[in-house]
Amino acid sequence: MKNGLFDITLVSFVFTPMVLTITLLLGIWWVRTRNSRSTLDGPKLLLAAAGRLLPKERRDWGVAMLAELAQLQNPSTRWWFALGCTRVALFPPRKGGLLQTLRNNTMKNIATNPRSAALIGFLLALPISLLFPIAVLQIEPFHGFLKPLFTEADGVRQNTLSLIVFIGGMLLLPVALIINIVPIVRTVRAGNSIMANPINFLLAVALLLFIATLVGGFIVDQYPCWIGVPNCD
Amino acid sequence: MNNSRRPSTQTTTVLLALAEDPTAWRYGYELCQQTGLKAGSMYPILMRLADRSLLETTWESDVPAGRPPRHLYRLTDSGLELAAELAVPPVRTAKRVRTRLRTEGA
Repeated sequence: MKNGLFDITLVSFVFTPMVLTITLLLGIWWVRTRNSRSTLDGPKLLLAAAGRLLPKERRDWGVAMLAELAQLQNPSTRWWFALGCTRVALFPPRKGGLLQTLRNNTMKNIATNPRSAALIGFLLALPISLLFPIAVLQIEPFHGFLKPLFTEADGVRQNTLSLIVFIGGMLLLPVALIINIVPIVRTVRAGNSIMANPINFLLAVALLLFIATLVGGFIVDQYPCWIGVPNCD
Repeated sequence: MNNSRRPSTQTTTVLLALAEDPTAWRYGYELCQQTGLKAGSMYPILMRLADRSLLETTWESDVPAGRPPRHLYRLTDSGLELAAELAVPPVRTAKRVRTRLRTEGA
C-alpha cells in the first residue's frame, strides 16, 4: 500500500470491483437466459441479446430482424446478418433524428420539468461535493469504530481475516450500486420520472454517499504515500 | 420538421427497389439481396422510411409452423411519390444556373 499508485490500492479499489461487477452481471445474465440459451444458436443469441437493448418503440424491429435471421441457413451469412443487425440494435436511428429528439424531449423536459435535471445533476455532483470537503478539511474517515475488528486482542497486530472480509464487503459496494441503479436507468430510459423507484433512488444516494466517504477518506489517508512522503503509513 | 434534403444514395436504392413492384410486400433480407446492401445499412433505412410514413409495415399472417412471422414492407403513397421523383435524375445545379442565365439574358 505504500509504493505508489500502481499497487494494491489500485487493484483493490478499481480493478477488482470492475472485474467483480462484470462477473456478477454476466452471471445474472447467464442464469436469467439459461432456458432460452439452450435452444439458441450463436447469431440468434447475439441478436436476441442486442435486441433487448433496443428502445421500446424499436423493439418490433428487433423481432423482425430475428425473424429474418431464422430464414437464413448458411452459417457465415447468418453471422454477417446478425452482426449487421446487432450494430443497428446498439445504435438505432433516433426517431426524427438527434436534433428533433433533443428538441422534442430533452429540452422540453428540462424546460418544463426541472426536477429531473436537478436530481440527475445532484447525483452526478454528489461524489465530488463529498470529496472536496474531505480533501480540503482533512476529515478523517469514520471507520474508527471498526478498528477493534481489524486488530487482535493485543490491539496492535492486524486481524487479517476481518480485514479481508471488510475489504470484500467494500468491493461489493459498487456492485450493489450498479444493481440498484439498473431499474432507475430503465425507468428513466422508458420516459418515466427518476423518482418512479423512490426506494432504489434513496438507496443509490446512500450507497454513493458511503462509497464517496470511504474512497475520499482513503485518498486523504494515503495521498502522502502516493506523493512519496517518507515514513508514511 | 419537414426534411426536404435529397435522400442518400442507399436510401434512394431501397426506395427504387421497393417501387419496382409497389403493391407487393417485401421481406428485409430479400431487399438486402436485391440492393446489395448489408443488414446493418438496410434496417436503419427501413426504420427511417417507416418513421417518415414513406413505408408501411406489417407482419406475415400465414406463417408455417415452426418459424416466426416475418416483417413485410411496401411503400406508402407518399413513398411512391418520392420514389417517382427520385427515379428522375437530378438536374445539375450549374447546368440549371447556366440555363437560367441564358434565359434571362435573352
